[in-house]
Amino acid sequence: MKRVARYTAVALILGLALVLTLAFRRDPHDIKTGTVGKPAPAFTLRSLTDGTSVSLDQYKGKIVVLNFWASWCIPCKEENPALTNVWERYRGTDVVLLGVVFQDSADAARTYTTRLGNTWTSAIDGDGQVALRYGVFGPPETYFIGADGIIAGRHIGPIDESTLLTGIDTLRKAARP
Amino acid sequence: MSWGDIGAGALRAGLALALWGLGAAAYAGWKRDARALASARAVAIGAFLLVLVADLAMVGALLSHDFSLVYVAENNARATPAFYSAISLWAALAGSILLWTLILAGAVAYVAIRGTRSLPRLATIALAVLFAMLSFFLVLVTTAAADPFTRIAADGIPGDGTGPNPLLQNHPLMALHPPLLYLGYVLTSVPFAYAIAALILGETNDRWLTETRKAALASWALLGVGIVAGAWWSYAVLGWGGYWAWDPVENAAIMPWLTATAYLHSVMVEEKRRLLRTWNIALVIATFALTILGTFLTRSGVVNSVHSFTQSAIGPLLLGYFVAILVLGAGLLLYRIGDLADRGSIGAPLSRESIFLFQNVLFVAATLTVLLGTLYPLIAEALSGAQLSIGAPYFDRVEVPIGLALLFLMGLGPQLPWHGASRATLERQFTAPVIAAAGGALVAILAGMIGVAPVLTYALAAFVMATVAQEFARGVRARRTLHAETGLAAFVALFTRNGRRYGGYVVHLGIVMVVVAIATSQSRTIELERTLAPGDAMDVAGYHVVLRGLRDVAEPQRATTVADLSITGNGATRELRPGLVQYPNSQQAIGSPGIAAGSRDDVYTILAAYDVTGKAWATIRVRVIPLVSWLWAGGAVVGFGALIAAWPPPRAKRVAVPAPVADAVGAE
Repeated sequence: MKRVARYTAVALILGLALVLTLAFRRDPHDIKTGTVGKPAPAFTLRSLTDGTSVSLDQYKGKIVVLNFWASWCIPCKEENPALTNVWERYRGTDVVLLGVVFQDSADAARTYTTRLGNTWTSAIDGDGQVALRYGVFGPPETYFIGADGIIAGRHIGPIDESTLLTGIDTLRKAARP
Repeated sequence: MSWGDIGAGALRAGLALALWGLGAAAYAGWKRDARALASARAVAIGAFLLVLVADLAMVGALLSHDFSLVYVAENNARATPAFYSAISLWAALAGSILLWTLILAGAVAYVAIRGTRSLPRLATIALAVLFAMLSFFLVLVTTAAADPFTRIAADGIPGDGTGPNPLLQNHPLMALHPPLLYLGYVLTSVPFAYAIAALILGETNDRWLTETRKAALASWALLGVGIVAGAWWSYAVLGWGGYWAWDPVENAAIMPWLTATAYLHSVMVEEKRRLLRTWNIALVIATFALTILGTFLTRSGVVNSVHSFTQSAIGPLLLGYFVAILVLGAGLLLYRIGDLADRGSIGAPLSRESIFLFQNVLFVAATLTVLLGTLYPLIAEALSGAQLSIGAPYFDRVEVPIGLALLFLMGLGPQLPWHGASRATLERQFTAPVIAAAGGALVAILAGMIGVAPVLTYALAAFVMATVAQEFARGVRARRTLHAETGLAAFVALFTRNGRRYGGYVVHLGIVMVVVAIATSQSRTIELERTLAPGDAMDVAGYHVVLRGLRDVAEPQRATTVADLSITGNGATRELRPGLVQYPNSQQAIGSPGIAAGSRDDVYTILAAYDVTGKAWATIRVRVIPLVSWLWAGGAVVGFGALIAAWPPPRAKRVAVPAPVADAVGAE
């Protein structure tokens, strides 16, 4: 018993020390953008509002602004007016704003969209697999996907209107050389 | 001689004294040498005074804007008001560590003077442990790791400094929150040092527990009040109307508080039944280690947090310190584990000791789950390279059920006798509380609470309140019968005669207030955002909010755009001025909310955006947050209850006769 306790204590202390030491290898504010420049991972999810299927494929050839969010996330609320303005501006064009809810319950997310009056499509990523494949650090996070299906840019944290417009403009120019 | 010379000189002399004290105390403990102990005691006082001089020198440098020091140049400006200049002592890493060192030096001096009188040998070894810690911190503040007195070359001294971080000069609570937390953190080192001393000496009696009870209680209370003050600061400054976000730095503060709470309860089992000895020592070691882990996480810059601190050489040093504490604590505990074995068992499940044990298991579970959530991003990256963050839902999902179970035990435990309860006792003790719980649930449902957790919170809060009221009623009745006192005299006497018990109940009431405030504010907040032209109004939850206009306010250290709002409704009339503040050292304007605090609800207003060119419109966000001020009041009640519990009973004053040092050391 005593031996088990001893080995457990040694293993725990060593493990903790190792994890904390490895944490020095990088600056936590410097988040890798491994998926930028690569094809956007395909997904099929359920729409938050009506349960219909939402897949990235159905927006092929369009510019997709993919916004990961959650109802409990305060910066998501901060960036919402910018998203609303951009959505109103590009509605029905070659630019699509698509929300992906993760780390959240569908009910809370629905209440959130109703309260803020968001009318663009959001899909629910229940098990967080889509967020994981995109390499999302935490909500909010926005990906700019070009007409060619390649992730052209990524913005971590709350996004403002000018960053959204610049991102979209760059992709539009690239699509029409 | 400059402030820098005085401070740096005092710290170096302090380090020399601390190292001397370490040697002297260790020798005094080992050889029972009274002269060495006398020397260690003198050195402890000297070291404290020197560190005090260094802290005052830093405050002097900040107040006189001595920009020849890097710390002052980076955290002060000529326009910084004197109050914020003085408290900039803890506005950044090096100054915070300097304050920490001062508190630790104070603890060392206290143990040297008071502790070594009552438990000479044990306290002498504890003193040596504390001197070792003080030496470590003095090394930090005298080397590149966290030297607050680093100078700027004579030709590079700036004419003005950059000023403190805008968020740290925007609210007076900044004066309170960090020092309270540091006091709480540092005082955990006293029980730890005694526990280590007891393990080194192989003392298996419980005298160190009694000796360190006050330090443990004080550190717990200061940490608790400091956490609530931090929540209040975040609420009043950050402008999102929240007070807790499960940020790594918040988690770092809550973890030692959780284990310290567990310890304050389980120590009673050891005192009454001589059980849980190993467990209690483990909790003391864990609490102290968690304060250092928290400091490491906060100060090393390894986690992504809103409290972003720059990386410095302090990270690896704190990590080494943390590992050394774990190795020393766990190593000694395992070495002595055979001697500490309990000679009895807990027994009946419905006894006070069993409830304390369940409660302890839950507190430790809460700590470990918070620890896992905090460290998970580091573990995930170490194992798979994935960078991710753990959001609030994880913590809410795990901690809310644990919290509710703890609330239930908080009502249950004090109503059960030691050793076990009969059926008759259970009926007598729980009839009223169970009825109160049903009433609490009903109130919650009638108030429109939705969801199991808020309704259960109200029910359990009423349950705990009823148990506390019942205890007070019984205590008063007993005193009136036995001592023929009036009701009020009997009530007061409960606190003066048995402050520990009844102070504890006051703490329970404070916790109930905090819990009810959290449940209500989380589930019943109403929010509305509108863009208004001057003269326009919006209505939120019975309040009529009128935008009177927008104006600019210029101060030497900042420029603010303020929205003048009139709030009427629910019997209140208030003028609020939410603003956006621009500091010269920050690109981004920071929100300064306007808050009308009330016992029923707070009206929390934010100027989200405005027309920069013509001031023709403003976007105003209004949050009506019910009962949130009960959270701060509850924190104060917890602190007050702890004060009652720590207050010495009248009789204890008469027996405190100090023994001469030489005799005491020789007699051990």
